[in-house]
Amino acid sequence: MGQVNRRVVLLGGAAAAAGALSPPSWAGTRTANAAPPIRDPFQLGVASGDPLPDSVVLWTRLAQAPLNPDGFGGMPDATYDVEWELADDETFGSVVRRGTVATSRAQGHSVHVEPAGLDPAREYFYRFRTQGHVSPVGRTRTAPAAGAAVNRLTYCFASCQHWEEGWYHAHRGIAADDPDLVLFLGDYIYEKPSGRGPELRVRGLAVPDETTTLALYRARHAQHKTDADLQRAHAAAPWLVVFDDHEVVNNWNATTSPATTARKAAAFQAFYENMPVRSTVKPSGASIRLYRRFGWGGLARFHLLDTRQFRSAQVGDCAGMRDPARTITGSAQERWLLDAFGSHPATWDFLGQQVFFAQRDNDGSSATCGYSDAWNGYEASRDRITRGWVERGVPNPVVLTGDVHRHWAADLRQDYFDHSDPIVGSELVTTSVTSTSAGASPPSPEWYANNPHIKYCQGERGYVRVTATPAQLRADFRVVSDALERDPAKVTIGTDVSFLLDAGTRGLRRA
Amino acid sequence: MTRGANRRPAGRALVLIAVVASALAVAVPPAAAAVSGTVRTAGDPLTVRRAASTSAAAIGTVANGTTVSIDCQTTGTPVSGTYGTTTLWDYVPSLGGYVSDAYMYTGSDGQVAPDCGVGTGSAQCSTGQCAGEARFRSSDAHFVVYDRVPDGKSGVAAYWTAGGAGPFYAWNSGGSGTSAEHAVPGLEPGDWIFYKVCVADRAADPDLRACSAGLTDYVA
Repeated sequence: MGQVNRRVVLLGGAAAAAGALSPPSWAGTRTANAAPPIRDPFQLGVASGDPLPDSVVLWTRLAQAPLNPDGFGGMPDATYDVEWELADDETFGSVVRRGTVATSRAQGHSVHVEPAGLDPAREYFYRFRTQGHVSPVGRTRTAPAAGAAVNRLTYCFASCQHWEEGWYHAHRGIAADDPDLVLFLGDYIYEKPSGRGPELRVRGLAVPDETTTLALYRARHAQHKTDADLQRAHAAAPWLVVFDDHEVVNNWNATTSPATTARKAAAFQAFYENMPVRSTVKPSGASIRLYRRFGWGGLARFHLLDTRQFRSAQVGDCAGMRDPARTITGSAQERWLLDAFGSHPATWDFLGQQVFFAQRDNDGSSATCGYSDAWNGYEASRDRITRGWVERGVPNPVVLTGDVHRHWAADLRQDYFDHSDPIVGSELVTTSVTSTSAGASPPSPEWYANNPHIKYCQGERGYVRVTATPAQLRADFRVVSDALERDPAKVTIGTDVSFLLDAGTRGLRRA
Repeated sequence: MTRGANRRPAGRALVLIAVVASALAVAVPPAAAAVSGTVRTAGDPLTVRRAASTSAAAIGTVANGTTVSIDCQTTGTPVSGTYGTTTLWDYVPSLGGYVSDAYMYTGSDGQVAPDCGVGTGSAQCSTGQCAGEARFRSSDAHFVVYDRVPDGKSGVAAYWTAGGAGPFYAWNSGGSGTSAEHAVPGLEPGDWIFYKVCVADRAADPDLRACSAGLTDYVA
């Protein structure tokens, strides 16, 4: 009964009906598994991600007791064989790929499958089975072939989901939007319990200790994956995921403070185990190849950046923040990005990344500097990247951002102090799924006057939905009426404002 | 060694059940893989405690030489006994609680049964003097919460279930020496529940103190 109910949640009535029947393709198979018997280990749901034209990552993680403080999810220290199936239909009448993979404690009993040879631009359904337990069904899709004409792409992007600070209505909204893709731009977990008062906390961490060990990171990730709305959003579409700082520790950087090498290694391992990412992202100790690129036919490219692992330590003074020797990307990633700017295979170039890209200037004076953890704190990096896409003629650059717990829309310039400097791109910043901003007030008219490139700010919870066509981009800034209210019937999810961007022109305009 | 030989047929039966269940595509609840142990003391009866701690309430005794069925094992306070010093405690449902593995002949110094809980009930107590104790009854998804010390605090079980909400609380604010029952709503057979036992002032957002490490049990 539990299985059927979860399918209802994930995919609606048709799938539930299928779940009540014997799955046709697995009905006659036998498995002899020497591992100790377990209860239903699919408590963390299923996910998919990193779609290519011929492949997409299928993910699950076995955990019969997901909140156990040792991070093992109640799984015995044994190897479990997990069968997987990929089908054209959600009732699995037409299975196109299947296989079996083994998983053990070394990878937190996580499963990452990368089926190859799939058709481009196709919807698929997938599920897993072990020891007679069948997972919920997920839906995914492959990317269009390189250069293929694509009429339309809809994706949602989100960030910052402190477990305690609200309900994941934003994820319910994302699933309901039926997007082709979902981007998550960081702060999927937080290393510490919320510091907010009880009126701003709706639930608690089962293992509240600061995440300093692999066991604690694993337990923290696992608790997040027990959320029904988050499971629903993962099962609805493939995700492109990057981390920001709180997946490790607040404001970490390339040095060993505040994150030691051991702590980075533990955090990266748990991140890999719990995310639907490719084996290319599998960490080696305190090193992880998070930055990577995905194409969506001739319509879009996603450059997923890592602005944490290679960044110089944060500084507070203007001279330091403008020091050309400092970097937020590291030189190898910067080269990788600039090289890509030299080719133009798609209409839209989306830079999916973590922290505020556009300048924010509180007083209109270039003699003062602020926001040292964002690109503001690495001005030379921002200048090199911006100049790079301008000089290489990138047709339509759009930066996608999380981190700041408020919606923002901004145009991008090479010299923000010159208010007549040409606009060279745009930035869409998503608010948080749940994380709150202490003491944040709306920007004043004076502040906007100092930052005329910034068009919009909204302090509610939500996500951004983007619809891109060859001619135009539309960004719907989605807001949740009350992330502290659990009852979905009492919560509305709607569009606060929409911005348009015409292909081949510069500058956001309100829809 | 004797124990191993005795277990082999049971192991085969388990595999058979799993195969049949797989063919039907039905979730397989792990059969209670209970092992047997024999109480070996210097002759005195062995104390049975509600939770795996020498500070937990003594709820009965079991005679030397008695063979019992151990459902699961957990770590608790160290005890020195017939078989040396160990932090391992054995959960014996027929006795209603836990006995130290230091007095239990199982044929092994190591763990021979699964971690608690296994869907036949479990209990924990708050750290230190076990001022708060709580038992989770798998048979009907109830907590029984005990307050054992007149410290002005309540005993409480904080618990989480599937879906993403929690913690919920099962309180005993009746004072030292009392117990309180709390039904956990909305659970079905096979569902998991993770709980910790703490002491706190009863409040909507309690400041939980002396919490046990927590364990996951299941509804029978």
